[in-house]
Amino acid sequence: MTSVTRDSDVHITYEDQQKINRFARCNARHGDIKEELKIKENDLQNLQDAEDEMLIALDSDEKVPFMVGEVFIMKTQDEAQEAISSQREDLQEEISILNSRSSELQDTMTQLKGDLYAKFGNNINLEPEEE
Amino acid sequence: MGPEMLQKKLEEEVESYKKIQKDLSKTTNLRSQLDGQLNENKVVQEELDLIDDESVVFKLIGPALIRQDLEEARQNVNKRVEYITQEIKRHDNTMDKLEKDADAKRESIGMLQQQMQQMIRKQMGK
Repeated sequence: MTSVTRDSDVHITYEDQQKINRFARCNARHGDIKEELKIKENDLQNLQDAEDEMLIALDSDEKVPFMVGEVFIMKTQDEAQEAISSQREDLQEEISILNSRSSELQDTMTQLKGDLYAKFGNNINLEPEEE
Repeated sequence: MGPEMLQKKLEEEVESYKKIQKDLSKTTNLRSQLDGQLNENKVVQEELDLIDDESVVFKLIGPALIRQDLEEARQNVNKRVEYITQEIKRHDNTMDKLEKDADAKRESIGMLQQQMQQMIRKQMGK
């Protein structure tokens, strides 16, 4: 994703290389965070689906086998509801932490991009490949 | 064609070939994902067909096991198997087309490269 064509006009200082390396690290970490976010958003959706299904599919006094680690614990629907809400809160907090880390990384990358493009112009490509 | 135009056309064809390769690899990945899903669903289908009509079945949604109606569950799985099979066929067709496109591109690139070489030889002969 970061490529520099060696031209006889282009001299790369040590600091420039450090910046390029830093950009690469931020970019990689940003990619990891995006993956994690995808997983967590999916989990959040599953929790919502579970809540909805409970209301629709079950009789009001029916107990729900609730997954805790390796076993299922029979809970009343209210207890299951509570457990789901608490899991949801935890997830949402994790998601918001990841999001703020992601924007920090993006800010850093934007700044580095500015510096590197200013110095190297067309000799460097810092854009993400389209998925 | 002049040498610069030839060079440009060559670069365009190479770019376009690269894109075809990318699409091909994406489609291949999706297809193997679908294959895995198909097998998983087929196993569920078999299990559901084997059990008594009186049995109780559950579906794992998030952290909760929700009781399902057996008939509904059977129908859902059957529909899923059908859908995935269709999707796999669609992806196979796409892959065939992309491979044909890739072959055509390769030929075209080969020809352009030959033309380039001829032009270079002519210029060197001058």
